[in-house]
Amino acid sequence: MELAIETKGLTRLFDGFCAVDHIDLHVETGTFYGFLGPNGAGKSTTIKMLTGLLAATEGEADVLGHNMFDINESLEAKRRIGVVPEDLALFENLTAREHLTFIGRMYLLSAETVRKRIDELLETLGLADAEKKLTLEYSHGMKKKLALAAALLPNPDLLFLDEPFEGVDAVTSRNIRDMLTDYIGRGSTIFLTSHVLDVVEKLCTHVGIIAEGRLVEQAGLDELRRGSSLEERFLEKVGADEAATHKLSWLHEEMP
Amino acid sequence: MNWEHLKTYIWVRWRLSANQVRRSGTVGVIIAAILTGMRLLGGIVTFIAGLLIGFLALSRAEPRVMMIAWDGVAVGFIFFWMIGLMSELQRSELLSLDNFMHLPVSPSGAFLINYAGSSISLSLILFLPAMIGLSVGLILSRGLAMLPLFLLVAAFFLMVTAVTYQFRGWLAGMMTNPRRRRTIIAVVSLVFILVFQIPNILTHYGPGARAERRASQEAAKEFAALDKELDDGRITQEEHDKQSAAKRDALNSDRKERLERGFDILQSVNMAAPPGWLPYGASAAVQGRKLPVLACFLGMGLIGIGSLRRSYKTTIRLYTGDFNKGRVRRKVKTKPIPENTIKTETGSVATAGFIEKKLPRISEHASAVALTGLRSLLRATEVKMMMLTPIILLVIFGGMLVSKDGSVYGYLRPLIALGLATFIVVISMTGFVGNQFAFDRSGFRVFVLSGVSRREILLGKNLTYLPLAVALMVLAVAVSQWMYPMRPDHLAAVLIQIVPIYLLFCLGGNIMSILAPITLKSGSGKPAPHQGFQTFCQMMFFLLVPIPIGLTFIPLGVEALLFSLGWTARFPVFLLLNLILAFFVFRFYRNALNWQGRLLHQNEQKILETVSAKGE
Repeated sequence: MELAIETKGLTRLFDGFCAVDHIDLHVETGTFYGFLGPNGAGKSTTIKMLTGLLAATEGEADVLGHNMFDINESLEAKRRIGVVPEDLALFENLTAREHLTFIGRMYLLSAETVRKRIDELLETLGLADAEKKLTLEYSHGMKKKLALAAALLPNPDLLFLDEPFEGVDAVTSRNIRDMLTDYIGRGSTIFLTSHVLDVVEKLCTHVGIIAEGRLVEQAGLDELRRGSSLEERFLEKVGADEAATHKLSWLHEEMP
Repeated sequence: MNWEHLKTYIWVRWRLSANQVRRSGTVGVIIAAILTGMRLLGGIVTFIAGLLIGFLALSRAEPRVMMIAWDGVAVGFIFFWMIGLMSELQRSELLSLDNFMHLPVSPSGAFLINYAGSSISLSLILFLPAMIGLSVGLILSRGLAMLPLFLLVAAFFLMVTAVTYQFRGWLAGMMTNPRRRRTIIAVVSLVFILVFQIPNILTHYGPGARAERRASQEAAKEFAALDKELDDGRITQEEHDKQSAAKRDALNSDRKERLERGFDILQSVNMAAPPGWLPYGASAAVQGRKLPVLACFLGMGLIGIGSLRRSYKTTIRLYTGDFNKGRVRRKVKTKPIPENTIKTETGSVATAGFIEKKLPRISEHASAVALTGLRSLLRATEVKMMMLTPIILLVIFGGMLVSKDGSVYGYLRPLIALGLATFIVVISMTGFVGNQFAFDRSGFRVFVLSGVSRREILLGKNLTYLPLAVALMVLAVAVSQWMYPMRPDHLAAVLIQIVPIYLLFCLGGNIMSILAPITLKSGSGKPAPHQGFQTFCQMMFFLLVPIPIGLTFIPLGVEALLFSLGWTARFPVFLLLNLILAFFVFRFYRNALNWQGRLLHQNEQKILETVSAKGE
């Protein structure tokens, strides 16, 4: 099976702190890969390295067959991927339409194609009424939707989505889920991080779990669950202490 | 608010500052320690200076001199205080009132603590000891009659801090809308610049200055006429000296009269404007007039208390969520939905207009970067403000040059034009071109994520600033041409030289943007604190970039040299050499962009880390 993403010993240190520790990812083409982990586990750092936003301290990362740490090859990969990064990537003094037009031109799409796709994206994501506002005036959820529209606009072969459902309303969330399902249906690949396990369970075909920078599990969703729920398997893998709340003895005391 | 709350507040504020300094590394800690030491030392020095001035220099001063001395201190304080206020507007508060609105702290206590916290600033540390020192010095030299000065100083500080606190709160309320926030910052900065330019303008162009200039010119003519009469033998040396002395006396008498009028105007201004009540009260105290002193004290105190009261009411409204109390709500008009507005799948005509355009002979990518960058730039109010500064400078300096004698050697004229153009472009554009990716902030992430050649991104970025830079340089050349007209071939040569100047400036700016980017505070365009090394690099760029640009002045020098040797008379050597120079610099720029693009690609992750960092 062809791999859309493959890493070998991918590592990132920040001032001696190991955010990502020798992870070996294998994401097959055409899969919907959910990358899970507790806060601070290294999910966003991994996505940043895979998309060329952050250099690795050690290891290799191939995206769509291109080495992301080679200057020339990474450009080839970037021409075929779409990304919704953690901090988004928006020009705050542009309107939604202007921003998307700019993105379309960067991917060398024709003006007509760009206009048509922008219309559809803005409508589907519920941004049509706010398309003339500057992005700096957008709420966080709206910014997220615009970033998603920008990532989808060139119709890339591989999508990296860092928490795409965070701050997005239920109706749009449903629209996005449908869009992503259609997108996967044509043989493309999605690499997604999310805290919402329900969403991952509904959408993903494969799951990777990262904890304290280490990849502790990587398998097909069904294989991982093995009759249990994803939440239970996740808690088991990341070593969550279920009894933690019982340790707060003062919770039953009166307020001073 | 109780003692525990107060202690906690001071501790939190201390921790916030300490953490901010710590994050900037060892150098930052050292710089912060030195700055703190300098501030404390500055406070001690100003106290001693005030004490000595009060005790020695003003011990026998007239009431008017006393008033001018206090005017100087009061205006100095307000000037620095306002600069601090503007900086405060451009960043979020270190410890905003919002952060403890939900906590069990009394509103009045929270309000007072916030007010006191916001008043502690460098200007207060320097000027309060100075005023106290001055008061102590005057009491020591002139006796206990000067004791009310303490009350006047206290009332003055209460008034200034309370009024600005109220003003700040009012602006902060309006700045909740991010788009409006930038406009407010820009307008406040502009008003500040204009208000503090008024004394400068009055000094140079006001009626007093004009009268002084006229009198000096007439006197110079009369003295010259007297000298001529002496040289011609029409008057004796004795008569010459006598008449000269009489004219000098008349001149001094006129000057004294103008000065007297100036004093009277200043006194009236001090009586009418509340910030002048401290100087006016001080001069009244010297004269032993108790009533004006009391009136000034009460006036300033009442304004201060009134402002605090009003600010407190606003705070309470914030607490209770009653933001619109006292305002008449406008009826919200609902826009009727027009019929027959069903969109067809392909019938959309909505476009992004300007951003969709393509620049001739420029690649699609570079065009997109250039036009998007320009659109984005022109919408940013802080950029407009930064662009206004050189125009104001041009008006001020240009105006000053206009008033000078217009006889300038022929070859100096293009040199002045080019010098002015270079000065303007370096002054106004260094912050942009030397830090090109910082204004995009998180937008720079789009470039990093894109598969576009980095050379094209650099080219697009340089094209973004081209219209602004060329407009400013052409304006500078036009001003220069108006003041000191050049030969047509020199004018053409100067206009052509704008191209190599800008290209070389861009090449330098590209290197700076790649190797020493600076984090900017969001929405202000100003560097975030504690970036010592990068700031030093940018400063060196600012100082050194005129050197390579200066090399483009060689053709002018060549023509001037040939002319002085008598080898050419009217042959346009300067123009021809400039055409050749523009061609070679353009070729050099195109080639240099290739390796600069590679350099950008190698460093883009580091740049992204810097430019997208939070600037607070």
